[in-house]
Amino acid sequence: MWGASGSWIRGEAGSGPHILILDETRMNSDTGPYLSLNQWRMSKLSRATIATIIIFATSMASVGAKQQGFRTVVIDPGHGGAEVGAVGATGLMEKNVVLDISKRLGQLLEEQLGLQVYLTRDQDIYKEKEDRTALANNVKANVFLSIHANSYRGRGVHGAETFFLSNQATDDDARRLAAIENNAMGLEGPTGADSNLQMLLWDMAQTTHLRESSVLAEMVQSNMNSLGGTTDRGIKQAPFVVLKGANMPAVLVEVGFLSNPEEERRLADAAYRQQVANMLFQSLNRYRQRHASLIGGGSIH
Amino acid sequence: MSRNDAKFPWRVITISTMLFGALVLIGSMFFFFAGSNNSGVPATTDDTIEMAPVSPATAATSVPAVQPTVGDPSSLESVADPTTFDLTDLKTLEGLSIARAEAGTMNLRLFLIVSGLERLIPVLHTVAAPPTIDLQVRSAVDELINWTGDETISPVPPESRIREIWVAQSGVAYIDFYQSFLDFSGGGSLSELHTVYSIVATLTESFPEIFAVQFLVEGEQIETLAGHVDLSHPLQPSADWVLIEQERGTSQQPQDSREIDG
Repeated sequence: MWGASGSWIRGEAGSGPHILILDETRMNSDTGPYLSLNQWRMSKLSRATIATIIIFATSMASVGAKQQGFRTVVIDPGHGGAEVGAVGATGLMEKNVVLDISKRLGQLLEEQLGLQVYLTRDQDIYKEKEDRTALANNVKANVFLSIHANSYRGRGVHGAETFFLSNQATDDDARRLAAIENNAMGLEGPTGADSNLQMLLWDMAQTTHLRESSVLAEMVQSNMNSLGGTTDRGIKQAPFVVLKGANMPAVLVEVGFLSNPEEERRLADAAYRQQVANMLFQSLNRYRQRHASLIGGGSIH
Repeated sequence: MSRNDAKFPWRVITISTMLFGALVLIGSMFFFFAGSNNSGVPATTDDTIEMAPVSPATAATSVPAVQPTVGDPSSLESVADPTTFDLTDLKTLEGLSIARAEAGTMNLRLFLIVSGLERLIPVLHTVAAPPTIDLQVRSAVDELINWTGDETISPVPPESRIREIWVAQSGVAYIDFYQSFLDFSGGGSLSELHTVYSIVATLTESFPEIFAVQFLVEGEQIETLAGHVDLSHPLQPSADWVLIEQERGTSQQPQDSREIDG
């Protein structure tokens, strides 16, 4: 394992267990810019195993990605069954609005792009949130798109917004939090080297997915903005359960506020829901084209 | 892709296997180099990555803990800096709450909705200070539940009722609500985000010894409040949803489109 300029990691007396030398020209300096691994004191076996697996997994991921075209999309209509989601003043329910938009979007993707489309639910039933992303992971979807409608206590709030997962899971506080959670009384959490390793690998994959998710969120939001009369509420990050388990770029779009009388009226109209589906279709198509250009014209149906 | 598929990437698998072999070799060399380590710090014997110490036993040996005295104003300063503050230090935790109780009052920062603004705004509010940290936190959440203001609205449903509140030595505040907290929280993600982050930010910004909040309902962990925000873990404040102090007065212009009727 090498440092940034090819130096070996080596032990050095009195400076902690191990140092990763980032700049070879400063190898002999006492005050060189070391990246200290002190905080990750683990057994030698773990270090070797983790180093090996990380490099292997990363290389496999990059090789694997080039072999796959953009062919599978998972659409997640929010809520369902007893969990009705937002409800408008006239009784219009989020679970029904988003199911209809999802079906319309799925049809467009299948018919016009020949993509493999999966809906996490195609009827009015409740599906556990982890099952929704599990489906996407199982079918190795290129994109996970969750469709929701919003509501708020104030009726004046309106517009569309697009979310991707907040990156809190990678910062230092979150690590401390994870450590506390693992030791919290009565609250179970993963413990031991395996879970730490899994967390590390998951972190790495999620960093890549987060970047792609933000690109996708930009595309979705910009298309939603071109719907006539819809306010741009922007792109946001939040720790949404339904985005957490996804092992691929994943975004959640809030197409409008059912608590706003005007937007409820529009979302009750099938023609408007078709327009929303068209916009989401265009953004996924743009993302697919970007995907194709990034991997150098990989196979696309 | 099935194994019968003509495009099955045998070449990739072969290359990857060779690559893996090479990496195992590199890994073992790393192992060898790690073995020659003679530094003064002993390696841990168990097979885990050592995270921040969380139990008082480990904290006593590995972290030079700040030991402020009760009522000493400098103790408050040291706590404000998370790099020197050891959350596991029981004396610090007690010292802060005792100082508040001795003063008789405490200054809360309630994070509330201000018409026209997207993020929640901190409102300074002084209330009587109960004797213990648990009661002090309870009092702060009660203020959010019962808040009535002309220009500000609390995003916490007034129907919410607290079952129990306690603050763990880890710095996590556990707030156990009765079922009504779930029933009256509405179905939209914006309502949910505001409710959750109002409570989290009010507690972490009012009480330096609290850094995360774990929501419970009827003594049980809940997945979400209304189907969106993950509440299965302790939550920290998010600058996306609350206006944290240093950002106040910047880039927050009221917009007509985001007005709130109340």
